[in-house]
Amino acid sequence: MTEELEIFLEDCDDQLQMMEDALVDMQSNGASESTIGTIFRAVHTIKGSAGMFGFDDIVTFAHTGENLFDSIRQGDVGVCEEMISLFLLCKDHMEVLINLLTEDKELSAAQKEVGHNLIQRLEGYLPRAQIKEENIEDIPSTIVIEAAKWHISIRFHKDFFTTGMSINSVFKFFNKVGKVLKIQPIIYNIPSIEDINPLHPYIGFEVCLLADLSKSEVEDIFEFIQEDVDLYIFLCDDSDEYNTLVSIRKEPELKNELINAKFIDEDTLIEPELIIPTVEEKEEIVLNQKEEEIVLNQKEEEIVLNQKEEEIVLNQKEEEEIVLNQKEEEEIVLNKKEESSEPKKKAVSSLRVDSSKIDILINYMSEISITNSRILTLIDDEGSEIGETVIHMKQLLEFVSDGIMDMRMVKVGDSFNKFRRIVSDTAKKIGKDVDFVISGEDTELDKTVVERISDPLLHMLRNSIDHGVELPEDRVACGKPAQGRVDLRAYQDSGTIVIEIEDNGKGLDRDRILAKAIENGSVKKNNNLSDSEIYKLIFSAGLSTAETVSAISGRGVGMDVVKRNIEDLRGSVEIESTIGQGSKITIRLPLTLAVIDGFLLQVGDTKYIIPLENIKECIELTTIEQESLNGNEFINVRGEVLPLLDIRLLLGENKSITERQNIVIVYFGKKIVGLLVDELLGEHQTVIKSLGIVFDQLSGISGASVLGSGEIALIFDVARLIELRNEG
Amino acid sequence: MELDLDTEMNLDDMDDDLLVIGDSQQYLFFILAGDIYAIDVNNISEMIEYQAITKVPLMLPYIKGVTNVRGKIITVLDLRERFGLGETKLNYKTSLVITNNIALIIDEVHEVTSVEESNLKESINFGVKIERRFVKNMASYNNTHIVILDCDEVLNIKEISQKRASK
Repeated sequence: MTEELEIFLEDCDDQLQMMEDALVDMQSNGASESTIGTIFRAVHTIKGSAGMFGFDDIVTFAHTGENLFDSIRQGDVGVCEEMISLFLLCKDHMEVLINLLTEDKELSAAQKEVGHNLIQRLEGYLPRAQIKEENIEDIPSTIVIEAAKWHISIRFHKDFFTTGMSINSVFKFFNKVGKVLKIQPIIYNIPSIEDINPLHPYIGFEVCLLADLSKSEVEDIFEFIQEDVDLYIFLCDDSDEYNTLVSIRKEPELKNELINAKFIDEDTLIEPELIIPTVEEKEEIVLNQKEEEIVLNQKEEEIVLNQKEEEIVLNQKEEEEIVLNQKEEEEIVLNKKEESSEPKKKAVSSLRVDSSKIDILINYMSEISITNSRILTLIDDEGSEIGETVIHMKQLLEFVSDGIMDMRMVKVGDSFNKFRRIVSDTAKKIGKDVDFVISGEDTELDKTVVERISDPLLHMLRNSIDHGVELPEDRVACGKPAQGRVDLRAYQDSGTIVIEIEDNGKGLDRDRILAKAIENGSVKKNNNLSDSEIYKLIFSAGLSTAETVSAISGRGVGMDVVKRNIEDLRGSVEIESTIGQGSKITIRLPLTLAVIDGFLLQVGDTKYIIPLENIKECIELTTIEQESLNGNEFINVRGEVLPLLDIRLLLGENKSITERQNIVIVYFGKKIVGLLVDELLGEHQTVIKSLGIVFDQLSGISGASVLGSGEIALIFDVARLIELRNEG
Repeated sequence: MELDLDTEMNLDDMDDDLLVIGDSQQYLFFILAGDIYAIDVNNISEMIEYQAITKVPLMLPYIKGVTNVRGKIITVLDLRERFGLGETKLNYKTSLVITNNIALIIDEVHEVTSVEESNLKESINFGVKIERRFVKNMASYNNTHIVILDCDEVLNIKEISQKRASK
């Protein structure tokens, strides 16, 4: 796929999402001017960019939608419930179209049928007059009676290519909407070979286009590049406009080019001295122009009047004033421009960057940091000037890497809002009434985490609606309000992100889960499981307590996948539930996957890192305590029982040789374990690297990190370690 | 004159390359427990001197751990142990052959040379110290028969990623 297509796809994704958000908002809050506007713009934008790529199917489809929305915007048509559902279907169809066409696939007959039906239904809402008008508009386009000759003068801004657009596609579009009668490339702006920057489009074009379009429609061709080109569009028969063109372009060669290319006769271009002034004349004219501008400015009128009689006897002071005036005026023009363009498009404040590029940066940053600390070790004298410089460098590098890290963070809100529609669709399908409440949209999370948590969350939300929330009549029978409630919350809690899904439905049926688990053999009959352990069983494969398999859930696959996905992200999941009152699923995730602040320690021959966010404190295990352990696997810390996990034992290392051992007290969620380790080596910020597929099955270790010395340290997965301890 | 010489040399090089593309393939010959083995060079991304390895616990004995190659983390596998020929005894000739992000510890690099296809033979059932499944085929080389290793089998992820049986 070409880069342009990728951008197109991304853009469409955004537009479709905006559309869906607005539609869902309409469903719950009714139509407002801003939501209608949003949808209209989204449809229009997609239509426009699809046109640039020649995806006619999308254009035709979007066009009908756009028409209807235009009528809605003008108040000719009211919005009703069915219409919104129809639009949601249209949005889905549009997505299908976009995905198919960008992959160069043909539409299937069924899909065409769907599109056709949707168009018909859309047209059904259009007021009669509108349809007629459409038809009238259609006729001339086929016969081409009143096709106008448009002169289009384009100059590309120097960073045009960085927008991802190509000059080629502009011309392709010309040929689509009409016929290019004349074209003259403007090449005199191309510098000599030494000065050329191959990334800049020095070329310009003067084009005569025969097309049955209005001026604004011609301008629409450039809608997506209008900020990156200088345009001047006018009707070819208007000779005055040619003069204006020549004067605004400020290109002395332009006149000759236009004449040579036979855009216009030599005679038509009047006042040649204004257009190609000699050097002295030039100044005069500029001054004259300035004077004219001053006339406009009433405040300065007096001065100007005085000066006007003598032609160009301006002293320097006044000249300055004039320049100032001109500047002011330019500013006003600029402001006006900004004002007028603002309602059309929001100011571009964000930058689209492929996330893999950031990953590469992070990787290099860590290499640089490692190299830098290596230098410090080599100098072996922190007090020296070089030492200080290296330390300063280290601080600067930390700023840079923090900055890069920050780029990866996105607000969870966007991804959460996507669930709104699915939740409402799901609830509707099974006849449940659910109030879906999202909170903590502004919580920031690593983009990769957000992407990878999306599917598991969706799955759990569906479960909550399908299994958790009861049917309205059942709810009323239990004395609860008919409308159920599902909460999706996100917040930060001591270095982790917590996402909660809570419903006020019937809660998990402990006994039924247990019975089912015993039935399929995953749990023995005489077990001694705690409630939370039983609830955790729903995450094991092949266990569904749903009596009937519905389209939404109940197949017993999924929850195990959910759990695995969360664990892959170094996260954990817990369930609380009360029969009759609802259940709450709590997911804990690390803030970012790429970097951790860790604590370096040694066990046996290997160095390990524990994420700092998991560490509560470090204590020393004295010989006396060691003896008092007496084979037990816990100690007393300030009156609290602390379960211990001997890392040496766990990892199959030899018995400790050091006399003193240390305990690192780690926690994850609500669970606390003391890890018995050999040596504490201090804090260490590090980039997490994968150990490689060979170590995929190794639990308790989530990755590795390269230390300043070039050595590798392994990173503990605290959540898994705690689980390992509890499994014994 | 100089220019002429260069051209001639280049031509020679090209001839050599063409030969390789034609009906022969380059192999790395190396020494392992006193015998010579070979690996298709297409499987090899680089060869480095043996360097410090970080032990990863709980893995099979021949998975020695990981090592840092210019910031990349590479798994290290002791080829001798993998073949059941005892643990490698480190000396200054010990090298790491990196294939597909896994470094193989070998005793000594012998040479890299091309073997014509006509000199390749089916693997034989006897007289080879290592398990037959590791043998891709045999090459005649300096009047002896050399085992060409089947890298896919040697680096069978399913097999080598298993955890050590007991503590």
